[in-house]
Amino acid sequence: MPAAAAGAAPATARPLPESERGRPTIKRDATWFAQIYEGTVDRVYRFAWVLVKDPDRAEDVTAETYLKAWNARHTLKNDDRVLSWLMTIAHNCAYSDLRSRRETLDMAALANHADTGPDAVDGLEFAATLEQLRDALLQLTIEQQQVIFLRFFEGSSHDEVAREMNRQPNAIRAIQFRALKRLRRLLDSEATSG
Amino acid sequence: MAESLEATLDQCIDRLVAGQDWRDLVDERDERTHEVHGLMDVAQGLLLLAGHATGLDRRGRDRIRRRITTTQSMIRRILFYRIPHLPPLWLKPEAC
Repeated sequence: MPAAAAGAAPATARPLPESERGRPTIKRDATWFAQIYEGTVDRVYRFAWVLVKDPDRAEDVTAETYLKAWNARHTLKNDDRVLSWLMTIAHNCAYSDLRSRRETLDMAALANHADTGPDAVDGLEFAATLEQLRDALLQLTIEQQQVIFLRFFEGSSHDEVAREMNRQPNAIRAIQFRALKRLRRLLDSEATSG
Repeated sequence: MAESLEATLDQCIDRLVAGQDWRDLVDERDERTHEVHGLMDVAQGLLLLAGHATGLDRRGRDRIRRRITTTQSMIRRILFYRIPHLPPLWLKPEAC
């Protein structure tokens, strides 16, 4: 092939990245997407719930996440990291939802949950603490949120989180440590200011 | 606590998530013990919060699926039929 012709190859004919070479090509069609949906929707919904604090809004965010994911399915670089990719999209959708609504936080749902204990006042304080914790979670980086979610909400081991996020286990430990430290600082500053 | 603080914390969290006692992993004589206890308080709060996380039932899953498929078909209609009485744009790309 002449060098000029080779140089004039269309932009779409770029070589695959190192991590993708040798992998069987997965057809990203509706069947593939339906399988992804079935396998991940529970976790994506829970992640959205943590961020937006409302079951209905979490459904909105989840639906929007999958719509965006479908439209951007060709940008998924590594099929082993689908959940992490979806969580990044969900994070962005949740933040745009929070920005657009900017409501005062609805504490009723949590208070109702907590009010089943022997002391209603303790229940409300408990709900308020959890609410502060949720607020603090919003101030973490997306990477920190993903690690915290997978570790505490999904019960994944740090090795599983490392695989999902394509990072070394030590890096996951470090992210987790920084995330908890930041949450502690945020809660402490909330306690001193409130 | 000869190991790094991060590793100790990670082991404590593993125990906490498994519903076991984590306090014996922390050396009370170590000056960083106080920090681990403070972070484990946060970890316990996170676990409580996780217990309150609402799951998605079968109807919720179906509702979201319907919304996705409906919106997708609507987008497709908008793309292909910009104006109802004109031919679809993919038949006449120069019209885009």
